Amino acid sequence: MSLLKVEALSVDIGGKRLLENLDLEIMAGELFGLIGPNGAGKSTLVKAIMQLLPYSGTVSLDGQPLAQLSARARAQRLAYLSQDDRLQWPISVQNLVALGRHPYRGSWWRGAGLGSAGLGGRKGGNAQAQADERAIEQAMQATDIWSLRERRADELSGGERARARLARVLAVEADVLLADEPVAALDPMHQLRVMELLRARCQAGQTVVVVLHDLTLASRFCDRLLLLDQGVAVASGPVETVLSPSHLASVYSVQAIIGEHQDGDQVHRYIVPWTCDRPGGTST
Amino acid sequence: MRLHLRWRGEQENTTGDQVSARRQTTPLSAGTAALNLGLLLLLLGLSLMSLRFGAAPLSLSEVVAGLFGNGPDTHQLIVQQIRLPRVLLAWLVGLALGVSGAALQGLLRNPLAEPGLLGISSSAGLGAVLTLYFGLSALNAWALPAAAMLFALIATLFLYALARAGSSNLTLILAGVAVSALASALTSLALNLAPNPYDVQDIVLWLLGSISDRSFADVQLILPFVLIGVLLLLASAPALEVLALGEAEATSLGVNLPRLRVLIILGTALSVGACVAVTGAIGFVGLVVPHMLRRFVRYRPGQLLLPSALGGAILVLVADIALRLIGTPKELQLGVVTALVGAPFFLALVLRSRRDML
Repeated sequence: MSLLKVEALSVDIGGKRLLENLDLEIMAGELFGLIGPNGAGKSTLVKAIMQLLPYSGTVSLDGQPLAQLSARARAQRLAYLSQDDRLQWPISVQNLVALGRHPYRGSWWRGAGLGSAGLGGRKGGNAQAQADERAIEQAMQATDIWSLRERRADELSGGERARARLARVLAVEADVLLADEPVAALDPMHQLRVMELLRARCQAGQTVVVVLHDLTLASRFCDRLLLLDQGVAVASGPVETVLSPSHLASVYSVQAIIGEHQDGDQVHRYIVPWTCDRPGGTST
Repeated sequence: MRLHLRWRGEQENTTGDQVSARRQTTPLSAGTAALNLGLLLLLLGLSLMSLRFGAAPLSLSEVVAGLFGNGPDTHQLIVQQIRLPRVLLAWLVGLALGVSGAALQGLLRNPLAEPGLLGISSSAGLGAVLTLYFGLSALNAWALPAAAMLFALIATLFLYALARAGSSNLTLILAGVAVSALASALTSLALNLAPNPYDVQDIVLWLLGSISDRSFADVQLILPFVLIGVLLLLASAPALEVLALGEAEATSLGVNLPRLRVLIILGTALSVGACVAVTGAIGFVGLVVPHMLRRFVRYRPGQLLLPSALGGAILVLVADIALRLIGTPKELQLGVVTALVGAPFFLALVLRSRRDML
């Protein structure tokens, strides 16, 4: 059953076509990877799904076009982790994670706004406040940042910061998580940790769409992949068919070493880009 | 690994027990309500002090008696007609400058943003002077604040467009300085060319600001605009909080960015513009106050708004009391006092943060 459906999606910005007539179906509970070289349109696709860019075509969730949902309803169902991890103010980790509950807060004229402005509008004991607190706590436990909750977000290491931002996204308790390169700046241990976390979210019933550059991680963790190149879908489907040597050569312009690793009863593929086919280069 | 910061002396939870763990979570708005209450009490206390000082110092009991219509007529007159409007104006100006400074800093994601530095106040002053000295204010009492608010709006929109175009923090501040210089120069020019030229004292008043010798009529004229403006700015708190994540993630959380911008630009133009129409441009309040209070709200841009409003009123009151206590032969302008405090503060802020933001 498809949860998220993209039909005939095209994005033009400043007279430049960034995505061309893209169709995509993402199943509920799936860990779906978006891969492709720099400038292929991966981030653009995520932003279009999040309604952050003007586009033509349809993006629907459970058969309902997202453009028809209110911003609030959309924010409750889709959570987004951007590539930009700058934070202007050094707020605490706990306050950062709590921002993920914004889609559930009351309108300001019902007093919540003044509560946020410091009049204490949110009373303990009401159901929403309890749900918020539980979601925030679970998100921090899942990402193992509970012990960091009082720390300032700007004092965290890169790996801690990535987990704190992920906790902020988990706190939304959305149906679909869209993460744009969540492991880009992380060491191998944290890359695996973040990917395992996303995998666990899928097992818990959420659907995850993740932009990745690391093809081995994509092959190891994703259920299905979409390979983009210059705004066009080159291949989509199971890992084995998308990450074929011919695709790697034509899209990424690299010759890769593709091997297999037996892990229990599962066989995983690893892909090591080895030589690049630069025009005039020495590679074969 | 850096030292783990503990708040309120709480102990690290190592048991993983969910119930006790929840109890150790700092409530999300904890401390802010206490901070606001404290600032409000301080503000009320300072207001009473402000009613005491002046050419004829009064005791606290004389002030209270005068305020409620008891005691000698002269005391009633001094307290109610001379000093009370001054206190109320200090409140309005301080609320407007403090909260708009905090809101602009949150929106532009720039800790140096402030109505005075960005030239919004001096633009409003230019609008006021133009109506005042070319006779438009005689036609309609609302023309003065309306023109000031309009000019404040134009300046805010211009600076916002600049910030949106991706200019650096430095460009934004420099553009603000340019706007401010231009508006100040045009204000001086307008006063020089006015049909019946006014003296230097008037020019100084508009450029530096003062709240002395104002009447209840002045307070009434701007009260509705300032209150509406301040409420619009306070209403931006929840969205401003989420904007700390950047525009894309804030939008993904349901924040309506165009609405947030309108709230803050309109709120600033109304509150600051209206105040400047009566008091002239008073600088640096919107810079100093949010910066001093930020750590007490744990750097949360939305939570900072109300404390900054109250803190702004406190700072203006303190400055206004100070200039009366200093007792120079000719009373100092309020804007001189705030600039004497604010300008070195601004310099220190720039020097300290130039590495990462300029």
